Amino acid sequence: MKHLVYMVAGITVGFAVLLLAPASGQTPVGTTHLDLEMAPAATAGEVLEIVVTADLGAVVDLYVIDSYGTSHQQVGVDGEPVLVEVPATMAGRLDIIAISGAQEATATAVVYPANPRQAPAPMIGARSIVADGADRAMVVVISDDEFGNPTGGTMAAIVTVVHPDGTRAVHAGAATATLQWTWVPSVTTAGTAQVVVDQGGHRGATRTLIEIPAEPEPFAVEPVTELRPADGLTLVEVATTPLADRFGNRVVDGTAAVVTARYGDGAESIQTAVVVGGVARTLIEAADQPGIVYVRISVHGVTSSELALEFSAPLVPVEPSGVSPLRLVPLGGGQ
Amino acid sequence: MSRLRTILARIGFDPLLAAALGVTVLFHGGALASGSFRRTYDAYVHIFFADHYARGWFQTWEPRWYTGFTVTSYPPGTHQLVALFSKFVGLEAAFVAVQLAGVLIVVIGIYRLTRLIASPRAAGIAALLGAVATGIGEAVHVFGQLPTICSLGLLLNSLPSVRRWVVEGDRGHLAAAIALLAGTTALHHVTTLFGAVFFVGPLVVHGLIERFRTPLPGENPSRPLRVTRSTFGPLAARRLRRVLRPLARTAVFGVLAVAVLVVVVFPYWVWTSSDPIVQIPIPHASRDSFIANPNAGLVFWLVPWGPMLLALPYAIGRGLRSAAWPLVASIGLLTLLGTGGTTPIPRMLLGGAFEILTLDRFTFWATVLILPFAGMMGEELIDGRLAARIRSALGSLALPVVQAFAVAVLLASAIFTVNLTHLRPMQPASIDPGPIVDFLERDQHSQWRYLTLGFGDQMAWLATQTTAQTVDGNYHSARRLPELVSYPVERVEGAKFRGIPGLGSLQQFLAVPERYHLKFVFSNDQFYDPLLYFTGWRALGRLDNGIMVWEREDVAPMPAVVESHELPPLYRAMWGLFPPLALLSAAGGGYLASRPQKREPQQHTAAKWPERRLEAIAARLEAENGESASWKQPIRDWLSALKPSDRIVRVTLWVTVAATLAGAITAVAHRADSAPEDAVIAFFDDIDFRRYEQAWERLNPQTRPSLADYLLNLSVEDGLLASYASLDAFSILDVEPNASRATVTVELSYVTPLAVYDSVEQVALTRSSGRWYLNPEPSDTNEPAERLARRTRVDFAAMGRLAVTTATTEYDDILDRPELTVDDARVVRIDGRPVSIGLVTNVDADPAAVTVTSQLFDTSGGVAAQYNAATVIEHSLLPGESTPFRVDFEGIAGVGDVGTFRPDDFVPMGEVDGVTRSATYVKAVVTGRGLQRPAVVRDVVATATSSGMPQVSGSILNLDTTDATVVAALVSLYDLTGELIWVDWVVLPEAVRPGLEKPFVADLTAHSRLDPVDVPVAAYSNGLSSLTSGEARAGFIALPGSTGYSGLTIQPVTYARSSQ
Repeated sequence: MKHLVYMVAGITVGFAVLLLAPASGQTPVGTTHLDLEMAPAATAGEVLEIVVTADLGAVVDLYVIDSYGTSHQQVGVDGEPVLVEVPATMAGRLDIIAISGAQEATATAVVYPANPRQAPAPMIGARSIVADGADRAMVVVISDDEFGNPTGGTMAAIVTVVHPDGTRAVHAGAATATLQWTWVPSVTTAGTAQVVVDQGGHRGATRTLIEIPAEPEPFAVEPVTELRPADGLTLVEVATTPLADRFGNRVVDGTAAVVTARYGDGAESIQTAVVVGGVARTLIEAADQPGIVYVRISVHGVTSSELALEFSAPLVPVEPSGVSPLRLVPLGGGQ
Repeated sequence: MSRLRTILARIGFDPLLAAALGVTVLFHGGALASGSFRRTYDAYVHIFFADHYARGWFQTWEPRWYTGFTVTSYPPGTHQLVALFSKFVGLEAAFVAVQLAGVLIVVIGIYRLTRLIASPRAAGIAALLGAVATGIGEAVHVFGQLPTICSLGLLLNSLPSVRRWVVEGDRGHLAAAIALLAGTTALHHVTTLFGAVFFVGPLVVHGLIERFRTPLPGENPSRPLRVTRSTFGPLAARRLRRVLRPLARTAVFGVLAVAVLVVVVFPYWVWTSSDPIVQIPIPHASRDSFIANPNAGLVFWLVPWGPMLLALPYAIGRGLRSAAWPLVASIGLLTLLGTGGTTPIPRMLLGGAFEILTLDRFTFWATVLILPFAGMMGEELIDGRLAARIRSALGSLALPVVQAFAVAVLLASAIFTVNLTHLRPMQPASIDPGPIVDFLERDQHSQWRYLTLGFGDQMAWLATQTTAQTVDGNYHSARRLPELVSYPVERVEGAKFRGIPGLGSLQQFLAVPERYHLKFVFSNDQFYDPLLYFTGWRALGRLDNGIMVWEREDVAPMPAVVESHELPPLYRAMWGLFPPLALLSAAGGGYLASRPQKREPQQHTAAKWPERRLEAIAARLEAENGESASWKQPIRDWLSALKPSDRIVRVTLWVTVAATLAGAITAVAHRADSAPEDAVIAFFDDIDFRRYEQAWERLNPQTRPSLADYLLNLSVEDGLLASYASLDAFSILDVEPNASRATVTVELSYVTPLAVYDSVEQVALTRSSGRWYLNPEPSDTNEPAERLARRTRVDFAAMGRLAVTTATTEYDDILDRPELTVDDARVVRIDGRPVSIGLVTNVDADPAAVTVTSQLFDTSGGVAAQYNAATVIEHSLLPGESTPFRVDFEGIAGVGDVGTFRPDDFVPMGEVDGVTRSATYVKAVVTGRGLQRPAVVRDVVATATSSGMPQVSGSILNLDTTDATVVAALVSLYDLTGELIWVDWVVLPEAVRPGLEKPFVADLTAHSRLDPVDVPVAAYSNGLSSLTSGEARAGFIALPGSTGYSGLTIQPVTYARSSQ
């Protein structure tokens, strides 16, 4: 039985220790007068010196409120004014509230950002613009100090752009409270432009701006394969004429080209080809009956003129495979 | 040997028990050390929990699973023990040590339990039987049940002390019993709860019966010949007096046991009462009918019982004739409950708990509780009554044969059980977690959540190796995410093994991954590949361990500070301290319990009022001489009259065996394709289980191809049905037989990760040599046009994540967003349900990985619904390419009737109260993946069916150099005014090889089901307003006006496995 008693007693004591453990900290002692002194302004990185005056033996609660939030510390006063140092890192307003007993005192300072830590990399949007001499992108410069405070309008930023045609343009950033910005217009040569920012004697990292061709000029589709038997099997190659915008910029590789072919029986064929070397090239399956197949290709919403491909009777008729079609039903969405 | 026996006897240790412990160490220890636990269901889950305590003993919040859960939902004792030992030997070795210790304690407990009702020799045999029992073997080596085993060990060891306290009033044993129960609770509270009913309860009743029948010292020995009104009161008082004190002690024990149960795992009870999550019960095969599901019967009934089934009749016969009948009653009840849904009785007895409990635990406890009786049976088989009967019936030579056979059966069944996971693997092949851990730790990949597919319980082992988080988990009680708790799926990652219900949850995670910062999927099962691809996931490549990594682009990483629900310090202290203290006290309890028995008091002094009163009443009994007539005698006479003769028993036995054999032979003979539908059923069965040779043999020998041709044709088949489907349902709709030919109409239903395919097929058969054969389908004779295909392509590689940098996120990775335009966006109701549709174009010079999100706003101005375009979109767009999209605002999967779930099921979001406006957001990042366009849709003809329904037919031609594994098509439908009104999505069930084509016919959505919603629609591209009126309708194909549509466009989307 005594084992059981020891066990229960042990558990009870454990509980009691956990429940009754006193909260750490000092019990504040009040004062009859309370005064605060602090410089009205500072730069991020400096230390704000706060002089606290109160009765001998008073304990003062100091609350520092800045953009980070609120921090708290206690100061014991021995009759002489006490110097408390508060590091200022966050730009903006900084409030001090001191409380001791029934007494309360406040002080306020403004913290300014420090010098930019390095020249910033520009942010560019839109990341790609049409190389038509009219489209433009915005370059934004957000510089900050070593504490992350935006230094914005405090220092001029110069944006330099080297366009795909080799021309160099220099733009001065317009300043706001937290950033600087400027428009960068395109040139008429497609390619990649380089953008850098100079600020405070430093040059930031290079960013790129893509200047893409505008929609292509009207183009045609031409046959590549001359032998065109109507066997429903042979693949006939067709290709567009060179695809270029009105400034002569070739449509970039990998651009989608939608190819449609209309057969004599009214059936259509749809496929997606890609542009390679400024030309969209694809294969059309031969018609299975002699006649004409009309082919058109669309790139960036511009559709070619119609190509009439004539298919003649094959040497050996092709037997249909006789495979029955697979039956499909719409899926998804609970149908 | 005899010297060892002498030494053991001198220290009070039974040599048979020592042998049992030795067998346990060799048998279970050897198997565990060889890694049997790695193939079990639960071992890695317990190791994961142990890892949690090893990382933070007092932490109660585990963020790695289910976006975080509270570990107080499971008693921590075993996990803390493993965590403690893992500091010295590692997690796996610590698990083995604790598991082995648990089995050893169980064997000792069986010995001590048996000693209460049988001889030391029978107890030793019971312990030996426990060492090789299939129930324990399965629990350890198949299920990996660490807490169940360890807690059972302490419970069994507490039973002698419980009995001694109740019967003898030994307070030391009360302390021992309570301490051992505290340890039991710390290890697994369910064992304490149910153990009180099925172990402690019967034993207490057994003790009370014993006291009930045993006269107290100094008791009036008078016994009347007949029970009359005058003698009934004194007789009852005398009996009641005998058990009054034991009853009071039982009450004291009960109160203390409840107190221990509450205090030791107090935070668990707090969690139970406060957790607001209501979960849909998870189906468990132990609740199935073992007749309808024989596999469940094998695993959850036959294997755990094993040879102990032979001991069951003995236990019933022997136990019911003795004071141990409460134990037999408990075995009977446990046996009944362990049969799951085979009979309705367990459901009636358990009520709502039936759907929550795993009923195999009842069978497990029954197989342990029967061991004392099995020990007695073994003793009788050595040289007792059983041995004598065998000798007299079969001769003296037969006895050693029977004994040897019994030992052989025991050993064989034990070895079979321990190796069951070898013979029938229940987990995927071992996966090396190293490469995955390296991947997660590289490039800060662990800042996103991940998901595993096809890992089985090894996902828990992976989780122990990393601090990265997954939305899934392996402890279903802790599921918190609505996508999980509303579905009866234990793990998303193993959804397909339960049929298909989990695919609903998986689809939602994949469709809206940004909700949980889910970016990586580690797939060990290609079944999920099409679903991953069509919901916008792209394969990054295989790791060294063969695991495929899938990534979803444009998902934000987790915030630096994630939600945590740590319990208050007091609860954390209780959780970290009480269970270990309880285990320490259990160790002390074990020492107390092994003290020698207290001597029975010679005189019984009636000290208190009730006893004095009962004593006074009993004293009125007058002494009467002579034998009292037993009231049971007439029943015994009646039963003996009913007893059949030996001859009748023998004849009945032989007739039963003969009838069973005849029935089986008839059934087999009848099945030999005597009917055409039998041949069809057998054929599709063979195909589904990939028994291709047998399937070929069922084809018409006159017209079938050679076996080599047949297998070759099968081997080149690929696609959704051939590679990612299983036959879910099959039914015969019609049979048209005649003498030699028949046509069978069958309905087939295939389950795939994307859709359920229902098809009706007509199968032609021919009768030959009295057997029906299927006429083979004509094979596809199409040949590619080119002998050698060469294609020019443009490849892309987005370099952002490849940059060698330690920066958290590259600037360009965030802002390098291709420009998109939303060319159309509108809201349409289908069958009354709102859906957002539209058209997006990539107007940039770079390819884009597109995400489309739509919102619906209700009359209150709030967001009523928000969802992503899941499968009905092309997620990767080439420069200048457009895609239609459809956003099906979906609710949480599984809210509806889960029994009818299908992969293409849709869960409506709930009634949207008057849609007032809509917003569609499209965003993209540069991508280099998913940009192949191998499929050509050709010979497209749009028509109306005879019933006026729109239909499109054509064929898919593969012009690429790789297989088009799964081809889907986005069909945009335009109304008579030329406005986009609907987007259909159809999937080709077969793959298309290079140069070949597959014809198709697709029924489209009827116009009458659609109703455009005229509300303002805003569209934003990469956060900027963007709604153009651009026309991206190249390839417009006219539809007959009678369909309600003016025409359609069709755009193929292709998943090419080899390019992933």
